Amino acid sequence: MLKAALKGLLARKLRLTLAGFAVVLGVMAVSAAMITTTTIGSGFDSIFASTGANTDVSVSGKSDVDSGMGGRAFAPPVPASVVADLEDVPGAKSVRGEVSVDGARPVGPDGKVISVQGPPRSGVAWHGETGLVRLWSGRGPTAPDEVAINGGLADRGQFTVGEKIDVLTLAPRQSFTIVGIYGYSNGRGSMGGDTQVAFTEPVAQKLMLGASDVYSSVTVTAERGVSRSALRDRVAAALGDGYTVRTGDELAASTAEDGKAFLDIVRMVLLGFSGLSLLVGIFLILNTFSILVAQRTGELALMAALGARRKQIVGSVLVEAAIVGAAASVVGIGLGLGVSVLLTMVMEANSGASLPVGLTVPVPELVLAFVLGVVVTLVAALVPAVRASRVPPVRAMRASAAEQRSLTRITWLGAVPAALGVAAVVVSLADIGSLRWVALAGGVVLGLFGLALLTPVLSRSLLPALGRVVGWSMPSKLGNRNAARNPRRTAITVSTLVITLGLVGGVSVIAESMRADLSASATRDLGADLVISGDGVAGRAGGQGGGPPTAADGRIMPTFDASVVDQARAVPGVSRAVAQYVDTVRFEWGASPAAAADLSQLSAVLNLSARTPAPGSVALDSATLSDHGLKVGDMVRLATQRAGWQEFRIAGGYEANYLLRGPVFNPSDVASLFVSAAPAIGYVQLADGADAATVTRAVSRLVADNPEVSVQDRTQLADDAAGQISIAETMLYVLLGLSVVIGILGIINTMALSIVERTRELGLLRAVGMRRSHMVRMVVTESVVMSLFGAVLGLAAGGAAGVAVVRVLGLSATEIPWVSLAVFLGLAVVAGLLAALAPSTRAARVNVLSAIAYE
Amino acid sequence: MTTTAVENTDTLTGLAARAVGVAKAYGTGATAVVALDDISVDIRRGRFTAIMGPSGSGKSTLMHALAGLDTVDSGEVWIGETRLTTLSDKGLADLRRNRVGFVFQQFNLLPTLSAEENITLPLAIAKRTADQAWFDLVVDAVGLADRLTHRPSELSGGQQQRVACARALLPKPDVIFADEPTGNLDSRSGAEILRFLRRSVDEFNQTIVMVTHDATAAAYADRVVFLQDGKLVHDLVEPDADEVLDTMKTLSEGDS
Repeated sequence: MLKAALKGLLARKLRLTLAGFAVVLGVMAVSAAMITTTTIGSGFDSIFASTGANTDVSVSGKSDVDSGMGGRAFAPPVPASVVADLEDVPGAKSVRGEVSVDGARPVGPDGKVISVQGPPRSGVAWHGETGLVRLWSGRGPTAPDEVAINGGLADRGQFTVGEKIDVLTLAPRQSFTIVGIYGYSNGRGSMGGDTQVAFTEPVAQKLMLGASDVYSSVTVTAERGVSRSALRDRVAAALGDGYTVRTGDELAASTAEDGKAFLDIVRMVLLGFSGLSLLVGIFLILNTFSILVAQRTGELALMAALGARRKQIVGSVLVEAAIVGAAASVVGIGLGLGVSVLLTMVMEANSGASLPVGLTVPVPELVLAFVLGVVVTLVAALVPAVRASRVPPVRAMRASAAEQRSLTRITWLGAVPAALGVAAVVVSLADIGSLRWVALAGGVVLGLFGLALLTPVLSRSLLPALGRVVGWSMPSKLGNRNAARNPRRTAITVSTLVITLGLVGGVSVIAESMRADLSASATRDLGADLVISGDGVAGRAGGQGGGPPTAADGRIMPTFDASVVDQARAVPGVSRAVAQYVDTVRFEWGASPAAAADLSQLSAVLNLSARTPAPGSVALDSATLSDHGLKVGDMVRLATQRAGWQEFRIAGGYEANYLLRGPVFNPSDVASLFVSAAPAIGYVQLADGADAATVTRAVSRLVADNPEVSVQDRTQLADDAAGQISIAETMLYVLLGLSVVIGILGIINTMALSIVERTRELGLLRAVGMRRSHMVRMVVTESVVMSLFGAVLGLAAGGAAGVAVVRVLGLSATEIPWVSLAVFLGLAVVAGLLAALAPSTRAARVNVLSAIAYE
Repeated sequence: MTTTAVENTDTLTGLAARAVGVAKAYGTGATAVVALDDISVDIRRGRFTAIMGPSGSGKSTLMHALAGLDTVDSGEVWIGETRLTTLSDKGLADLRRNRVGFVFQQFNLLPTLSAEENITLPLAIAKRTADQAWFDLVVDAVGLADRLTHRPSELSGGQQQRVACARALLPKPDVIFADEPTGNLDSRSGAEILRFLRRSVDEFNQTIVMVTHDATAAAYADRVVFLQDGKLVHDLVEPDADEVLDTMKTLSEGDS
């Protein structure tokens, strides 16, 4: 039996290769995800291990505002007095205050801010060649306008000693002279790709921490014989609560963790892709093995007639599947290794980090990927194998492989979950509270399951209609009939396309509706004509579109000098200019966006009516007030980035809108409460009759020296708000594009089989006068009709699910992107054409004689 | 109808198809098998010609060559005034579509088409429509008037072969080639088919060439040519079944 299976395997190389392709892709993505993240992760561990070597214990402020977004949180600065306090701790040899904070954004030679993906852009206080730091050329900064930079930054910006460098920090852009370039004791010019600017200590404190006589951390070295952990406990005891005290090793590990945060995204993308390709791969394998088994029904029946047991027949098919799965998994892991090498190189190039390790291969995970590939193949092959074993020997040897079975049972099996699914989705549209999402998700899953079982019966009624669209000629008609010939096979063939285009349809409807909603809300609530802000800041200030932007969530919020708004107010034609400061705070019930502004002025541009709260008090939006049983005049406890937990009097309320939500402070409180004392958004209103273009130019000139900030009008702001959706949407489409490729393979597979099965018919058609071109047209029609069918089904089901999601989300508009949907249909036609290339050539080459000659 | 009759009467004496010095061998060198060895044969219009011969005599090869389904090594093949041996693949396809009809042993109907669609398939490919009176006459002649909407799977073997006959006849081709048309049928259904072919020749002036190894079937023909080892060895005109059987017996005796 095994030998027969192996021989069969060799005879069907091409088809098995097609089947294995999906497994190859899936396993490739899984193993690439594992290898890449492990490699880069261990690289970072080894880079940052050295940072802990010279620090025995590190003390930093404890953040009360956890943004919940991961990444580097802004820790409140440590007062300089802590240094003196710690000198008395027994076992402490030396104590030193450090400044090292993410957020020193250097301006490159091209006038743009130098950006790095992942690693920090640190601003530090210069302490000479101590610990890790080694000067490569020049000297350390001694004057307020001098800086030293690390080798990583010097490389990126082509900076040399003696040149000027502009840096954006908590303060607006400032110019410095580079007096030195340094590297680290491990010989590198950068820690995992970071850039560093070293100021003199007072300047670093001012620019990076926003205050004098504070440090971002205090390091303590231990006297000989005092262990790190013992010293850590003593320091912690001396300082009491309110500080984070870690040993050097813990610090290094946590720094490395921060550096590796971006790896989670890489891992998620790769694993998402892998899951998708394995899912659609199951259908491709199922299809292929159904076909193989159908082709061999006679052969298998002969084995049964010769006395093979049912178990042996199932076994022979499964052996084949196991071999295909194993081979595909090995190839997938091999390709995964290649992809990892490429990805690691790309990341090293992008982040400037050169990893001190070669490729790290996580063997257990790869074994898992291998097993996954084999199991997926086996599971997919099980159904056709069992079916093959159930065919009675005599019938199988006589009947043709493409035998029709009634669709009644499968239709009922599908109709029940489909009806339940639709009902659940309809229920979810009604306001039934938090159960809506459960109903929606359950409904969509049930609906999809039902749809899969209903596809055969749907193909009966839909295919003829589609065929009429594709072509009227006799060859087209024949192709269309062929597509409708075996509903089950058609259903399995198009299932990949249905899934893929279902996702595409759903995503496109949701994205289009979100875009419409965002751009409408962004402009509806905005009474200003111009907005000064960095990319995406204004769009997120109200907590929409991915949460509030703050310095604390690891992304450095672009700000500008408060004087810009005052200058803008003086521009002729400007009737009003208001600054808004943005940050995140934490209530006892969770994080919230926060703002500080002259609220009376801001109300005028945001169509609100509210008065500016007095210093030390806040205005709160009415939703927050009512949700938590608060009223004007009450006290509310909240934590700010700089001041931690405090009580504030609620001075007033306002109606939250897209651009403003959460507590609003008096602008004079900003310096003591917010990370950045500079405004992030400026609203400008034009006087009646003022020329918009002239004013826009004049205001733009005010921020011309700030590469992170621009002036946008209402349209641009709306586009900006909608733009973030588009990026995510495009990324999803690229991933889904790959599963379309697998869908095309499925169609090729089925078409190729059909042509082998129908050789006699094809010969007859040639005999009664079909030209080769007619044969091609016939096969192309079959392929295009099938892919159109899958696309229509997928887009309709996905679109409907998308509409339901939009409704449950409560978006203001339900937009169906007809143009995009039409484009996707067009792409499905192209996919059908591509899939028909090889099969149609083969059909055109069928030899009339060999086809009609009787055996 | 009338025009057809006149046309056929005018060309009654003409040739529907002919082979001139046709030779064909399969394989090369020592393993070469000569299938056709310098055969010349004329097929007259409005006649029913049967090609007979033992297995491997080359009768099917001859028919395939005459029908433009297969190439020949040397010699010429004509359908009417058209020389097939120089036609392109496209030209051959168009010729098969308009001027040649086929009936095969295995019926060879398209399972996705109804009986009517199968009958009109060659015309549909050529983008022609059937003359309704002629269509009705043909359908009536094969006795399928009440079966037109059925799929082949819903028809008996005899009915399927009658559909194939109607399909061959409908475009009024120069020649219908029938390759063992009764080979897969019981004797009653087979006789029906042969009677229909005979009637097509007598009433519709159709030219038919039939390959068979069944003496009873060959007896329906106006003329029987006998092939052996790729050569034309005997030619009977208006034979009965006994004559055919005797000739075959003689041939196989001479062979041994």
